[in-house]
Amino acid sequence: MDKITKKNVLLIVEDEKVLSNTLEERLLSEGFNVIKAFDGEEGLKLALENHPDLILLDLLMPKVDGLTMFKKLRADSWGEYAPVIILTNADSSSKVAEAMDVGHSDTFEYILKTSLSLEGVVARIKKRLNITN
Amino acid sequence: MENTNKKKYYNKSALRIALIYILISALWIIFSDRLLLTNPDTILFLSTLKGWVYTIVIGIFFYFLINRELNRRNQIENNLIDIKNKYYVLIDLAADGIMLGSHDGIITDVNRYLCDMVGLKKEDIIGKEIKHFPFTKESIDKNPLRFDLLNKGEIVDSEREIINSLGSKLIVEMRTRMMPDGTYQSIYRDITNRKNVEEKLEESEKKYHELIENSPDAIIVYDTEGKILFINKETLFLMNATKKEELIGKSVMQFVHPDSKALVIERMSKSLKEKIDLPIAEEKFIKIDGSSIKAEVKSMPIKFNGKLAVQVIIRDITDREKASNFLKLVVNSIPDFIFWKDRNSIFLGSNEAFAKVAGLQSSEDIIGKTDYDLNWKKEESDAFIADDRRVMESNTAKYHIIEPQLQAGGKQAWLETSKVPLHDDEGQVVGILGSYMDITERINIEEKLEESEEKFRRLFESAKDSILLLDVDTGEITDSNPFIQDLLEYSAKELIGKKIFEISPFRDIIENKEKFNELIKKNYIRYDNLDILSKTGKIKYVEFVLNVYTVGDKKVVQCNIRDLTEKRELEESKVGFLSIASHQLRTPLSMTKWVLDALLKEKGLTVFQKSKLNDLVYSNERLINLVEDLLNVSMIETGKLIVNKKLIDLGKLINDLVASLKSLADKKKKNIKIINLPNLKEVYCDPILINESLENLLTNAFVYAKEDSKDITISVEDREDDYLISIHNEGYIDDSSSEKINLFDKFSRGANSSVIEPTGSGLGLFITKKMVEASGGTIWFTSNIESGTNFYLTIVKNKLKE
Repeated sequence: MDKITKKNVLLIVEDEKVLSNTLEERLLSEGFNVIKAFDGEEGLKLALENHPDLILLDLLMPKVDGLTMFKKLRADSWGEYAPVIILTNADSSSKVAEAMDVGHSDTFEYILKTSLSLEGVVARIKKRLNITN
Repeated sequence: MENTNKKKYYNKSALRIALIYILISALWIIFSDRLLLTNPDTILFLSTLKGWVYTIVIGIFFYFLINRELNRRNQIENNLIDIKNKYYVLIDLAADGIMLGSHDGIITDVNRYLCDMVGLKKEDIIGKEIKHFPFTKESIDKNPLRFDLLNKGEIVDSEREIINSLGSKLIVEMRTRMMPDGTYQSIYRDITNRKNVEEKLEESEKKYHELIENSPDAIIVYDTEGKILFINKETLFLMNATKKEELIGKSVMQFVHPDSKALVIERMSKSLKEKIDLPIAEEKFIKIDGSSIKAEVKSMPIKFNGKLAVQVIIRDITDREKASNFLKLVVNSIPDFIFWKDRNSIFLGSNEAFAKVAGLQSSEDIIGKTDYDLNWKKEESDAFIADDRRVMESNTAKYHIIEPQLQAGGKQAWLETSKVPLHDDEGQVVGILGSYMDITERINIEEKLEESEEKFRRLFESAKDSILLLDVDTGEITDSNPFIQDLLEYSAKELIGKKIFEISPFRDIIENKEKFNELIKKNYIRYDNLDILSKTGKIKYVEFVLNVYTVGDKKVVQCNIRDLTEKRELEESKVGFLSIASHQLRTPLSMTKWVLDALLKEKGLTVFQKSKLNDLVYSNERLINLVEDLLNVSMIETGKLIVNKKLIDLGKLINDLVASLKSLADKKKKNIKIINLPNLKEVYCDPILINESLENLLTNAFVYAKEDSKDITISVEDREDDYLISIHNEGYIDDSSSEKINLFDKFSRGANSSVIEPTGSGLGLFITKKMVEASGGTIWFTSNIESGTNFYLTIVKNKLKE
């Protein structure tokens, strides 16, 4: 499995600054490169520009929400297979189901933020990126 | 023939011989005296006297001696004559014809019987040649006497046909032998009658055989040992045999069904011992092919080939039995009560239903009983019997008589009875057939109908639903309640008499008559969400239910229209509230959670700081759990719980879940053991709901298991229709308290749970149950002090998907 080489780039799309910052600090300390966006519009733009290795996506956000951004991303030729972890607090089994329908469920997973500790989130990110400690 | 007179040899002969002897002796004495004259007179005299005496004594002696001998001869001869005379009498009187002939074949004598037999006089026969006897042209001696044999001393028997002088044909049996004196004696016996009888017998025997052979009944003859001696054609057919040898010579018991063996043995010995015909009995037999038949059997002792045997006549009643069983089945299947009685109202039979209400075990018990022996009151029985009499005497059937009856168990019933007189072949009334229905229910219903009609009217008027009643054929509105008038802003006048598809609010739903008819055919139609427009154009959000039911013999359509407008508004706000609440509540909680995580990761924290931070983590977790539970409950209650089934590897799901719970288990000093995991590679279920349900049950097990017990087990059983997952712990749920608590109810908690886990929300099992049930499964538990607690949940198999 890969080590963190050439620094894996992670995009955090999250409108809550506290969560965004806490996560960013933690990921930086793990040695990742982090880009941040605070709404879906910005998130989609950064994603398509930087082609990050993984997108951490919130669902309920101002301007363009996470699901809309996700659908637009999947419409892009690169974005179609971009790995995404949906990190949300929305009660949204219906929305998740909708997201699943967008396609390629193996490139996407769903985490309820309250259900995982920071440690747990980092572990899932690493697993997604096939990284061992 | 003539008697020969007895010859008498009188004593005279002996006397004569004696006298002659004396005379000779005297002559000799006289002459000898004269010749000799030698002696003096005295001596001469004395010697002469001596000689005389001497001579007389010897003469007397001779006389007696000879006389005796002659007497004896005389007697023998007389006896002989006696015998001869008797013989002649015998011959003359004999019932057989007797003929004597000389050695050269001439008839010397015949008896009277033979004369009568041939119609000739004795004189006409004697002196003729034997071989021409009886001297009629037609009598041709087909087998002349075998003199050669006779001469050898043999007795010759022959049978011959002779025509007597009167022209009658006779059959005679003739026995001839040579007598010691070289004469012949023949005895003729007239066997014409016997021959005729024999012939007739033969004929009738043939007929009898024919009859038996072609009898439609099977006939078997067996000997005293039970060995089959004879069978007829029908027996072959009955026993399914092809050859008589398959049965003849075998033991009859071999073909008797075990059920009937005792009976057959008993009847056989009775028939042989008492030599009487036995009445008909039902016996079972086994055919050659092993199948069994039921038959009616009559047996009688007979002589067969001169020996005692038993003849059995067997009639196959399997078909009859079948037919009668079928009829019985029919009679017993009819829900009506059926009985039949004789001319005197004595029961001859009934169906089972009737026997049951009469208080009897079975319909067989009713035979011979009268109504007085049955459950009903005396007065009722009087009435029934009087009724029977009327029907039988008038010889007219009575249909649908309604009468009360007291049934077994004291139940008062109302009956609708029909009684029909039964006739014999001559048209005479011999009994009565009755059937009745229990119409108690109907009578009760009729009584209640008026009442319910009124109730219905009240309900109809006051209903919260809008109701329209339609005529099923035309779709015409026949009635409407006030509520619909409010809802649609139409007056009753505007609705009644119109066809439903002419009213604008329903125009879209029921566009035309065809569609309406199609709806009616289904009997029940329901639209959960329907927007309809009122007369003034207001949108009404309604539930529309159309029911077709029968009133009397007419079909009616009832449309219930429930206004859901308010309810929908309320629900929409609820859904909005929920999704906002879930996000808004979770966001600060997740922030706190992550920030605390980040803080705890810091180096250089004091033990005190760490402990306080952990307290915060714990408190935050509790809040998160509570919020999760509440959100779940809200979701469930608003019907927003979404089931998303797919094929998953349930085994992997369970393994992953157990692995993820390991740290929590370690903390509680528990160990989850997976004890039975069949192949679960493709199980059709909602992984999120199953995962959450199992997690709830496992974490519950951590908390409520006995403190000193370590193992919590989870196992899966692959059953026919579902997978059964069971989770076991050593704890005990005390539900013996007076208030029965359903653990699966919202906010309910076991009697001892608030002591063990004061922070529980009381929502976990409620949510779990709802999730399991939403997936089509069931959940339950068992608990006792000894074996602990088992929670079970099932995942239904989808036959199409698997």
